[in-house]
Amino acid sequence: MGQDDEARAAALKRVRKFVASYTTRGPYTLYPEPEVVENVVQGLADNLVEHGKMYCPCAPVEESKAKAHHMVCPCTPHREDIERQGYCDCALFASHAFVEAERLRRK
Amino acid sequence: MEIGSPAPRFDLPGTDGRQHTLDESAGKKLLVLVVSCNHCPYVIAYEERIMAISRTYGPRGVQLVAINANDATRYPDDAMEPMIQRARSRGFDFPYVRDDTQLTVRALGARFTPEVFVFDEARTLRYHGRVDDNHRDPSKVTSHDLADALDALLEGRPPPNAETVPFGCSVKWK
Repeated sequence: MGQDDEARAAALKRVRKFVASYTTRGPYTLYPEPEVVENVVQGLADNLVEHGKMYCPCAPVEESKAKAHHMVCPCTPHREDIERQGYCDCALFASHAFVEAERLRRK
Repeated sequence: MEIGSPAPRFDLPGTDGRQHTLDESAGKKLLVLVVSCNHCPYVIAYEERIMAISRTYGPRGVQLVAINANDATRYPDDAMEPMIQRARSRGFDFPYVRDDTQLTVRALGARFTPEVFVFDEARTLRYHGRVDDNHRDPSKVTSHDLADALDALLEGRPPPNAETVPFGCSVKWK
């Protein structure tokens, strides 16, 4: 495994650990589609490797950098987004109510 | 929106200064609606591929329309004027329309940008989902889902995968 691969693997491990910890301890759970969640996790790992921080993959990184920690996961607007639509703009975190509503809708 | 559902009627303003409707695609074999926007990194990553789809399949009777429904109050980059600038600077050869009421995109049941809906000649939904399976690196795509669906439908076959999970930024709801 090359240095780049090792850095990517370490970043991915860190992101997964953060996401697991945040959903275990916090008020939110994961967005109900594992493929969508995995894509966001990979995007966070990409940004961690390339830019040093877990910038939201759903926002342009250069804009995020200008906002200091505002757009580093868990970003400042995620609570408001989840309050409004049930999930954050990246579709990583969601409210338990949204996940339950989606489960019933798909039944 | 489930596979087999009819296309929603729409009448939306485009960056070209014209209104664009469902009916204007009559006569085209397929209609591709792409829920899109200006600033989402996933859309930007897919932009060249979406333009290539339009260039490649347009002459074969496929009409592509990109719809931006993002709340332009919270995201001013998605307002009509920046849309006009983007369409011009990128040279879009397809209508790029604004869905300010978000009714069309809600009728589609879209959640992400980009999210793709392909309707057949009867304007029945035949494919829904992603463009392909790798937004980061086009050279690492292993499943060309949208192109495969278009090829199949143009040859009179059902798409190999009628539904895939779209991913991207969420639509910025009002």
